[in-house]
Amino acid sequence: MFQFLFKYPTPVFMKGHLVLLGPWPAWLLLVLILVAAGGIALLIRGQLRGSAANLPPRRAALIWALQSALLALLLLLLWQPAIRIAELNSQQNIIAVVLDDSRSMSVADSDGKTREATAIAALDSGVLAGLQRRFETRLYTIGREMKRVDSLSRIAPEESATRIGAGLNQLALDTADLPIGAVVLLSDGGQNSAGIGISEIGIEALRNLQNRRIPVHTVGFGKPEHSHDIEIQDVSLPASAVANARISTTVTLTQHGYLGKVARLTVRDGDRVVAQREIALALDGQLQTESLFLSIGTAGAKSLAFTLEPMAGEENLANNTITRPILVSNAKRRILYVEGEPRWEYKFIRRAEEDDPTIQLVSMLRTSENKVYRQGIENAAELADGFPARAEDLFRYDGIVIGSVAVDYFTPLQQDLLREYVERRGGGVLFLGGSSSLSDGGWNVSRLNELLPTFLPAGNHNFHRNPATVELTSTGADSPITRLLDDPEKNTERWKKLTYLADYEDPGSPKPGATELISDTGNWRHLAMADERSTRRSFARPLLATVASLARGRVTWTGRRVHAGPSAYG
Amino acid sequence: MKFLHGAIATVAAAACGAGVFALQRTGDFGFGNDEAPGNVKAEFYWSRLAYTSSMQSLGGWGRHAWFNSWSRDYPKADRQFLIAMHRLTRINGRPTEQVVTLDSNEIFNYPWIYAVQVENWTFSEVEARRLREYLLKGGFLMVDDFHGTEDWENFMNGMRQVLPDRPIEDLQSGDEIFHTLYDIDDKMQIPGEQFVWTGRTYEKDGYQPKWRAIRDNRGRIIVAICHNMHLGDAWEWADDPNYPEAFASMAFRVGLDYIIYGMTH
Repeated sequence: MFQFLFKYPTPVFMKGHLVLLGPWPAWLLLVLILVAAGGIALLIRGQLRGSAANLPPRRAALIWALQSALLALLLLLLWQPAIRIAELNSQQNIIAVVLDDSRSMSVADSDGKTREATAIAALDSGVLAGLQRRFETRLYTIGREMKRVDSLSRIAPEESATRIGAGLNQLALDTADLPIGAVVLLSDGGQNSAGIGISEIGIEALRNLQNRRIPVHTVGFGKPEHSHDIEIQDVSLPASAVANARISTTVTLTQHGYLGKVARLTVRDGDRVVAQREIALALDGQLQTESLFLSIGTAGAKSLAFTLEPMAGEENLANNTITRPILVSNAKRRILYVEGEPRWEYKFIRRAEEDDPTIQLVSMLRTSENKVYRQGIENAAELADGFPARAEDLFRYDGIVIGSVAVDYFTPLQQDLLREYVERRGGGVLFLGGSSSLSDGGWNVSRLNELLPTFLPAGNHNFHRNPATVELTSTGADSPITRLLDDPEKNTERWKKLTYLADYEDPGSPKPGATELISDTGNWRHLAMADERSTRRSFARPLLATVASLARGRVTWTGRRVHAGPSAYG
Repeated sequence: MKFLHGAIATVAAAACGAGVFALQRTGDFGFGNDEAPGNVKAEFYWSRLAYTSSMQSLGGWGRHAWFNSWSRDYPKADRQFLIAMHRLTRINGRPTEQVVTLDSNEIFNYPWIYAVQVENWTFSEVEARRLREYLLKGGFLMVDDFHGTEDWENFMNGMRQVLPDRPIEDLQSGDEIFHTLYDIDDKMQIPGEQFVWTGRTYEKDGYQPKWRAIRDNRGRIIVAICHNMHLGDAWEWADDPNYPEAFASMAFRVGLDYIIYGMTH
């Protein structure tokens, strides 16, 4: 009805701009409308005074408004109002018809015909002829790159990859001097490049198309979902790592038609298999996230291929692999360990780190009131003056461990540096429980209290030389921080078999945003009762380790120390 | 009357026997009851190794006999040393000594142990295996107070039961173990109390002090050997005005360096 009345459909009026085609300026129209309205008002007023009719003011105003509106409309018509819209001009604009010729288009899922054949048939059935009657058309194919072709007859789906975003960007740039009016893209949508949003088109391509005002009309082929398919959606991999490090990756995948089956995920660095894992597939279409640990190997620039091995009857194999780059360096992570008193975990932490080729543990131990014993230093000058007092010295370390050290060991400047180390530098700090740690070391009333992931308990008798056993929380079981073994279930069982702890410190309760990784099993009560017959206050199961992210950094603390028992040695 | 005399004699003998038994110097093998002064939990326990002595046949009362060689200078040397350790370091140590054995895995709770008169030690197969595991897993052993060639050979007989393939090397002044707390560049032969009346720093044919060690695969010292010297006596008699202060001071510094080394390597 709207188009019948106004000749053009609604979108034309919505997208168009109102213009006045008359020779006179628009302000003159406005002035005349105001003058006319004023004149009508004076006229009505004069007539009402001279007549005996008793007209209510409201009715008089209505009459004035109607007469003014009619006069304004007449004046507007004199100025020839019009709607201006953009429209392709026949035979002046070029239509780019782009056909995907990657291998995925060879899938025959359309009544026995391949997607490529279906697209070509659609074009030959009159679509292309219709476009050619009104516009100049150019044919392109898109695979690894955009190519112009003369006809549809020689097109074969043989390209090994599809990069729609890069191809469209190339088209926008190559035809900068041509009046490309629109792009018609015929594709199954599967592509191998990573971009933004659902389309996965790069932002540069989108920007160039927008600047050229080129709309892209897409025509899809193939099934939106396969009845039997597994697909890697995304892989999260650190951009860099140190040589021989063990890193954690996250793989996101979906599947159709293989509920309950097991897929094998393989990570390759060239021909070398870096890691493998069996994955139990979840519900159809559901995003499934799995973690994987792998040893990154030697230094160098690497490209890791994450592949889901093909399943029986899988319809689309092109989406089973994703590659990600990673830069592996030879540089070791330098960790600064500050210990306030000689104690056994200092020794065994150092012994454990000596076997780790990715870590250099630099430590300073207060052996007496005025002496510090340094180990792992690069030269005689390192830490010669004690804990660093300059940002450039402290920020050199990739992590800091603070043992049984009271907060007043650090000067106010050093305490501020610690805060900046976490908040500005993005470094991680690990606090160990001890007789001078946390609350017992005055950290709860220090300016660094905000750094800690828990609300520390009051008082200073929170350290107990009593045995305890520990277990992973549900969050800790999934965390890479507590992963002794790659398999999560085996890792949880391994934690249960660890030797008991010699002592512990009450850590308080976790702050919002903190993650609780480990807690005691509660068996400590029985172990403690064997040693201390005195009555004890009861409290909730203390947590062992929590971690919280602060600004750019991370603070972790562990309130327990492993006993130097037979299985804990070495 | 005779009966009365006999009864009195019997009671007196029983009382004397009880007194003699009570005077026996036995090691503190555990925490004892909760109210005992030695039942203090600490980070470090001065742990003296009570081994099976090859002189056992002369004793007959087992490890609890006061004249067993493992207990030479015990407990005064241990106590005196602990006083110095508390005074000069930040080590949280129990103020009383601890005696450990190789009978059970309990020894793994004491990562630093001290043994004297080790020319007399001998090990069963189980004991040797346990001590070997103890040392290779991070334990530290300091041996002291054995002198001369014959003592060395007898010591090695026992040591080879524990670590048959490990070489023994002489420590140099620059070795890290002499620079953990104190810098000990110039060392002297530390004699036992016999120096006071003999004027000799050596015993038997141990004329030269031998500072030696056995290392693990990573180069860490796991057995520190003080041959031809007697640090235990130096600690024990440090309060004797006749015993030279220089020897006692050196002995304390060496002992503290060895403990700090054992707690850091």
